[in-house]
Amino acid sequence: MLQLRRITKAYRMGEVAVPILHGIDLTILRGEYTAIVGTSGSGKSTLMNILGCLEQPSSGHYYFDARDITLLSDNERTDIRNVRIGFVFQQFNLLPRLTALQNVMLPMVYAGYDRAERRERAMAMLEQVGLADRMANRPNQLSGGQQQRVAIARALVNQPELLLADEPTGALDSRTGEDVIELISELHAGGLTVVLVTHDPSVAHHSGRIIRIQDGQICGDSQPWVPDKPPPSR
Amino acid sequence: MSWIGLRHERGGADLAETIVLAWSSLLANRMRSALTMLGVIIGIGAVISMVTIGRGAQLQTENQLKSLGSNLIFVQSGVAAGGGPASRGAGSATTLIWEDAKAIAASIAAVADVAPNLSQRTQVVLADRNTNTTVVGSTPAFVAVRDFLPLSGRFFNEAELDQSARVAVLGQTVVDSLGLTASSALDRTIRIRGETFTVIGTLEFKGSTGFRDQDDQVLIPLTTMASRIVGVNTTAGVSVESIAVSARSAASMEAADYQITNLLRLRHRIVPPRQDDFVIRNQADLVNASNAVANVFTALLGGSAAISLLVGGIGIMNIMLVSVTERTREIGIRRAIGARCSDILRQFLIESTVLSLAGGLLGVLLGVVASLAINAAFGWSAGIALDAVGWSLAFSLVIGVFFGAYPANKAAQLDPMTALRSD
Repeated sequence: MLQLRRITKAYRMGEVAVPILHGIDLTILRGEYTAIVGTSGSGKSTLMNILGCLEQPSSGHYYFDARDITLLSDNERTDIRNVRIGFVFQQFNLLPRLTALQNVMLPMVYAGYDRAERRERAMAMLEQVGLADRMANRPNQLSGGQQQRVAIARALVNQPELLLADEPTGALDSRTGEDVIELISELHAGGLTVVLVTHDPSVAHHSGRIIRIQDGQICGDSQPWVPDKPPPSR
Repeated sequence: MSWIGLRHERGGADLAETIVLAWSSLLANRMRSALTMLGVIIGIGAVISMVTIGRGAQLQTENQLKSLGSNLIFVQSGVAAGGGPASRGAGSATTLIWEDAKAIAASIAAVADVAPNLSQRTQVVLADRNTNTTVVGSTPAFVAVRDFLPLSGRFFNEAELDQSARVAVLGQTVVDSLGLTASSALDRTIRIRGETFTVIGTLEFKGSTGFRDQDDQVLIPLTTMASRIVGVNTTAGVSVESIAVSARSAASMEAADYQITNLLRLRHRIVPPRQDDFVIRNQADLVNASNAVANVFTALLGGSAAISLLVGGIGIMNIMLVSVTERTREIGIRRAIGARCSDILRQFLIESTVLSLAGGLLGVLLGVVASLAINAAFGWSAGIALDAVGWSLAFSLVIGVFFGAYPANKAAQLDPMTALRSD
């Protein structure tokens, strides 16, 4: 489903280019639950942003369903973010002035659903993450765990195939963090492809595959993809 | 699989929804939005009330010029032939005589009445009071030509004209200056240049034409004027400065103008290359001249008000730039979950347009109230400059789009990841 070929990324800091990723090769199959672990500064978040079409690599190719993302226009990448990828951030990134329901409806606004359908589906989504009674609350009236659930509902409301979660438990205490991880595991069980970034080993152990990143390179893969091996059963 | 068509239809949020969204984000910063709008409110209000003032003044001047009399043609003594390059201007030579006026009245069919006019500024004395005013020598036709009726007493008649009677008819400003009233002025004796005159009437109130006060004059018979006050008797007869002619109708103005020109050329023996020694002006010329002045006046007022509108627009741009900077993170979030550049552009453009259009509507309200107050204060009936209302609303829309374009474009061009990282 996802294929990275010799992906590099360097940030320009004034005159000097600071390299973050040094040639990443990675394949992720449909239905996999992958955890990317690494120390801070290892480049795992940058890798995540590239997977989420939020950033373009400096060089290399990124194939999403055999389509080279690096050749697409900004609008096309935006539409992929909108409909095919759900992104969950460490800091939730909810809009503070909108209610939980409005936040969840937002991706559907850009996808062009009409108002009634948006409402109906957002409400169903919030119910699924267990927030049926919090729909009219604004983010600052919700706990961190609840906010992350709203963010997950928002990520999934357009029914994407891929859920990317960048340190989803990073801003939560361990108990609510576990709840969130449990929710993500349930979603994976329902058929969603999940990639999450974490530095918490207990979170990573929920996944079926752990990829270690150090200094911008993959230094360990618990289940490397071999071309002739059939994809894991789902 | 095609990437295009991921979305149901382009357009996403409908316009009404985006406007509601824009309105709610403006309400989130009530004070700031109100202050920003104030620039547009004042600008639009100023444009509308200034144009109203200009139009009102114009209408007023037009009415006053009409009060000079109807279908009026002025024949003025012409340019003195000084023999040099410098013209001394109309009226600098006394080339017209009373006989010219009589000839015009007698031989031109398009003409209704003719009143010759010889005037001088001088001192008018009543006992211990005196005033400086214009003494005008004319004929009884003055009343008909200038549409200027006596308020009290009567105008002098033909008999008094023939006898060079020492009678005077006072304008209301003169009546006031001499400490009299319309009724108490009658039968008083005044002195002009040492000559005594009996006041037989006062003229109705007319007001100023904007050029001079029509009520600041004393009318005496032309004969008396020529023999006792000015004393310009040429060999050809009594010289006059100007001849006021009323045409029979508005339609006969041009005919009268043409015939008077021909008659006077004949009488003055003017053949090319000699220039006419008289100048003919009609009321329309005066109205046009004053309209031209009023239009410049209106344009100046409206223009300076438009500048304040421009400043209001810059205020909108400023606050939108602040808003974009403040909401960088929001833009990043929206971009991350699938807002295209064009969606962001639209959002901010509509926000600035709503801001400026709301300001425009309130400005129209302010302008209309101010216009009504101005009309009431000056007793004008010019009404509200409705076209200015329409234009300024359209203009405020344009301002919203124009001054919103740069900030909105800045917002749309933000890199999603950079925007997300900011706070």
